Amino acid sequence: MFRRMLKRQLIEDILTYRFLVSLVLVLVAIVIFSLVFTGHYHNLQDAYAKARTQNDDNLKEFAKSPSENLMSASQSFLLKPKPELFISEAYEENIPQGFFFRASQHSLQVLSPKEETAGAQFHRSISKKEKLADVLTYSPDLTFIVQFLMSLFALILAFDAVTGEKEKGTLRLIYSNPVKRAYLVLAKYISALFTLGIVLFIGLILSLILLNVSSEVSFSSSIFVSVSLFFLASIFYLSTFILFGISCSVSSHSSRNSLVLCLLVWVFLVIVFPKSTGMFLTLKRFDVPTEEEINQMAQKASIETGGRLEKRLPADYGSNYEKYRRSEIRLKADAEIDKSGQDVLDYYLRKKLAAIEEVRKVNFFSPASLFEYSASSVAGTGLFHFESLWNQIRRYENDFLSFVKNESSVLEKGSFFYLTYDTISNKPIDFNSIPKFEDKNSGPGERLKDAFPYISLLALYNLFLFAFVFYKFQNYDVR
Amino acid sequence: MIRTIIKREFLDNILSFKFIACVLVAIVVSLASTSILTRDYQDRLKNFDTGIALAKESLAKVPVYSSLKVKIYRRPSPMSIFVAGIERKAGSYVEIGNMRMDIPTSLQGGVTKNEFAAMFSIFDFSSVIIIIFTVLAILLSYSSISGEKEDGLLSLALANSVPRYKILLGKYLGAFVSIAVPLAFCFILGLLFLLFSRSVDVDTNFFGSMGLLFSASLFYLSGILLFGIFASSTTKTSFGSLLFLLTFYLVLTFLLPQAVRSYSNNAIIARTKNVEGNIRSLENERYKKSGEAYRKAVFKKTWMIPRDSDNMQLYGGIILSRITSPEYLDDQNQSTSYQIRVEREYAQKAYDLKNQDMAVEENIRRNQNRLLAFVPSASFGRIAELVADTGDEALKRCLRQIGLYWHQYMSYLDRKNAFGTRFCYPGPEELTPYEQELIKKITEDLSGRTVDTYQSWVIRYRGKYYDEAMKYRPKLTFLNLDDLPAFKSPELGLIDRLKPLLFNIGVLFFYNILFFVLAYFSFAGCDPRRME
Repeated sequence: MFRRMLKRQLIEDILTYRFLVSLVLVLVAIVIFSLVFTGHYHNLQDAYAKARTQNDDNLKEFAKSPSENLMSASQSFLLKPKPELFISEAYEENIPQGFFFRASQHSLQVLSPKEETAGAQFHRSISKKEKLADVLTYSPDLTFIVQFLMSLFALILAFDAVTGEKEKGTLRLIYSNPVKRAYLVLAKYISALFTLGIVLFIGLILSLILLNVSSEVSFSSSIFVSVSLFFLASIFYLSTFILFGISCSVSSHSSRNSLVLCLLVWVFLVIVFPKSTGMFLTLKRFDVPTEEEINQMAQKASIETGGRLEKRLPADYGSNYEKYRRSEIRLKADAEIDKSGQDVLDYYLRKKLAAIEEVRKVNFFSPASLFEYSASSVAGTGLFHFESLWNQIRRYENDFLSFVKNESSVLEKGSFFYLTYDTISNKPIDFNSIPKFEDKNSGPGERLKDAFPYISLLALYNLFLFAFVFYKFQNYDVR
Repeated sequence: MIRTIIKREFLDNILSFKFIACVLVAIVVSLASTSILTRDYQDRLKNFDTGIALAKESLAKVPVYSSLKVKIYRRPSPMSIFVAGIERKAGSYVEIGNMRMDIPTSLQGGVTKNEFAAMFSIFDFSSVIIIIFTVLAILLSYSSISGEKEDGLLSLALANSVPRYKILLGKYLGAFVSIAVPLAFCFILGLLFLLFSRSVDVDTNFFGSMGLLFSASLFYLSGILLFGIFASSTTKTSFGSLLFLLTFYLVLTFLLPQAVRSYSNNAIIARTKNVEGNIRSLENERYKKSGEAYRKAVFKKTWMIPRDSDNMQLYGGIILSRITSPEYLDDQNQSTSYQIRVEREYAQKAYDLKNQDMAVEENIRRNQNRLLAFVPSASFGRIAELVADTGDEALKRCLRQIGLYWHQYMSYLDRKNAFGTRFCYPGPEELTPYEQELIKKITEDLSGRTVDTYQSWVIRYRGKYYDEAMKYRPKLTFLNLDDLPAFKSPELGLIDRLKPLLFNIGVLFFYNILFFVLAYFSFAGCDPRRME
């Protein structure tokens, strides 16, 4: 019996104009978005390439005569523009674009758009004004299409699941048979999910083709993985909204009421709620120290470490000041002082990221935000990209420093190396042997691990809504 | 008869679930946003006051012109509580430095301490109107005609000898009153909240702006209502009209403005691709020129004691020790005057370059705004920003004023001969006998002189009077900066602010009339019998 109901429902759903309209609208939106994305992506790639060449030129200068060009051993590490940005842009242009690494001071600073560095220029060239999120600002990506358009279609498919049948008079006819109550709801749910799944699938294939043609993105395995994981997350998300539609239908007695209820639920959960939680960041609880405070803390930490180490240093250097400055002890002490300042900066960055995570947790109430976060983690963009960049940079720092340590020879003494004018030799280094930084995509396992909490919350949402619908429908008056 | 229709529509609407739900959400969100934005405004005002006080205080304690930094603060406007614009994010102050005298082209110190907060946005009043009240308007008007047709009431109403236009007008006015009442309520709540919070000062300008904002929102919402009534009379079912209105709402509020803005952003990037490169080459030129001067300069070989680092940490800038040989002072004057000339020249060039860049951007944005004026929600958003004076125009006006002030400040510095001795060498004018004695002793002591590793023309003195000179802590005298020109912030009267608005308001007015006429003709030919 169930299979018959399902088949009937499927045919009904696919043959209505609702399916056609949603398919056409989604495909048109994908085409328009991919056009907008192509132009923008080319700009991003150009700017990134320019920043990389500047970086490489700096390194070449350093490699030619290291002791004269010590300051050129500084590099900017930027977020690499990925084709996954088409799946989910995740405000990647609103967050700091990368880090500035000053090897001679062992310092790693977050690039802010105001700094006069290659990275800051890259940031500025993306958008002429500081790009800031606005209530009405949405990035033209696939997440937007699914989050907004397809959830609305889900509601439109499902809002008259029960009330429509009731108004047509077929509901009592169905239930005059020995049919389990759950079957109707399940049939409606599965067929709506299947319909939307087809639309989504066709849309994703189209977007892959368009990406390949226009942005010259090759069909590497990484993008396949992202797209399939995105499909999975979208299915969970759309199923949530189908269930919302069915619950609104089950809670009202006429289609019109049900539609209004669905619309209100949609506006609240998709637009109002996610955009309002930004207000929480202004609360004291999510407060982060100001830049001045952090600079003072860093200075204090350096002075403290310096004071602590002073006791171990020779008290009397007299006329051997220059020699003392180059001595191993002094250099080690300087490096430790730099490190303690850097630790404060790292702590600051971690605090900022933690505050953002906390505010994001408030957003878990809305399935739209959950979907947004899962899409961004699956595509490896936005905040997830930034964090993975940070981890990769820290590993690279060690590689770079140990490389230069091996290359350089210090003036008569051993082989220690602290990137200072006094210790670094002027022997040219082979540019090609310097380890270069590459921003690599994280593997599918890691991305799944990042997305897991959000997708599982969406699954929980689904379970809860299922239970609600079944419960409500048990007592529904079918006449 | 119209009054009866209006009363009936109004009561019907007020008691319906959709109205109550929407208005509840609108009140909660607008109250939350007003309270949080008010607190934010109070913080910014406090920062402004303390900033100005600190700046004034620090002006009394400047020993040399190289540690003089002028900070200009921008006063936060109370209207930013209702229309956030870019005021919160654009920054609140500007600093004209001592060594690098760039003409500022952007403000520093935006409120957000956490740069990642740029990912989040805040619902302000104008967004509440554009999103929530528009949905309410759609819900109130989508079934005004087709719903009545489905219920069978339209044929009953038209069976009376009521002219069709009266029914239409009645429905429109009924819906209008139903939306104006909660809107006014939200405005009054917001205003009351504001007036009862501490340290928020409002003047008549503020109330005028609020009144204008209220009327503009009514204009905008009435356009939406008329469009909804038109859609309702054209489609056969109320579901169809709701779908139609929703599609329009989604496309015109979210998709279209976003697409236009992305397109103009791309255009701006494409046209100003070279500016970054030009600024960078300008920087290199500047760096080379000041380096050249340093290397070509003929400095007299004279001794120097390290700079007064204690006072440098306290006051900033470069402060020479009082125990400095007169020849070294001459050298310093020479190099300073050359450096400053180079700095000013390049500051002006960089400013002109950036202004060119800005002009291109302004042009593109003007076209963008003109195009978006035809989208009602974007048009209303722009009207709100212009009325509240928290948008781009206000920022640009402020920056232009700062540019003018920079010239005033530079001529002041020239008048006071700031780049002479008093640039690095602290007062008082006359050397004390002790200082003269010490300088003479050091000049005559030829021992302990080593050539500086980095600057070969400088001789570092480390002889027997070195410790005495390093330990000498004179009392510094401070500069008299009472006649420093003050920065006057550019204020525009309400009328002047409204001039760019006329086009947008005109378009909204046109839409109102257009949709009313369309609804009239569509309703005139509408068949009121229920379709079976």
